[in-house]
Amino acid sequence: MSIEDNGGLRVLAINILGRFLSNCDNNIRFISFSFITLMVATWIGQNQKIRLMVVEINLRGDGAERLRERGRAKAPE
Amino acid sequence: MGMRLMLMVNKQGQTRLAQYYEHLIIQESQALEGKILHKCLARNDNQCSFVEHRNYGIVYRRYASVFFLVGVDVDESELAILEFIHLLVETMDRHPGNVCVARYDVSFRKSTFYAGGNGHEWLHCGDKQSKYSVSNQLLDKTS
Repeated sequence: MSIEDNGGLRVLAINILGRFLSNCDNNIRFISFSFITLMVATWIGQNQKIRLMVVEINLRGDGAERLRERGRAKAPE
Repeated sequence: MGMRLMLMVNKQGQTRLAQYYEHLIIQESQALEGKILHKCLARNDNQCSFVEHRNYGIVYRRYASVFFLVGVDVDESELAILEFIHLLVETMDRHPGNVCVARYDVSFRKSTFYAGGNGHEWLHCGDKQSKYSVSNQLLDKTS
């Protein structure tokens, strides 16, 4: 997050996190979801696919409620 | 790493091994243990292994009938702590034998030695070495 770079590495990072987001393991999905919400809070609307994935994950119970409890970043509505 | 506590708990909620890496008085540690155990044992297998409690981030992992809970800082890497729990269980499994609760009651001193004395050494060695060499180092020290 603190690395200053051009847009290419950001898109690459978001795509890699999106690939982790579609993993079947709940732990990896949770970690990638937390990082994606941090990214969404700072870089608005980089990737439409990630936004749809984040909305889909948000509909489930486990990940989004944990993140709201943590208060790191609000889940995008 | 900001590791603060480590617990080894029964499925019924009885604490078998507790190691605190920061100073807490007994009432605080007992209340904290009770709340953490109540939070972690209520979760099922479909949920992720990361729980938030006050300013602790709890990472737990279940092996047969034993839960290993590690309390870390909130900004710690949860997946690294999950691998650390597995490393601990692998080393415990290799030296005393099979991982079960009754065996850890018999060899309590070794379990305390693993969790207490070598916990910090593992955390420092883990940054530089691979996981299997750390296990072998520990086996050389204890046997």
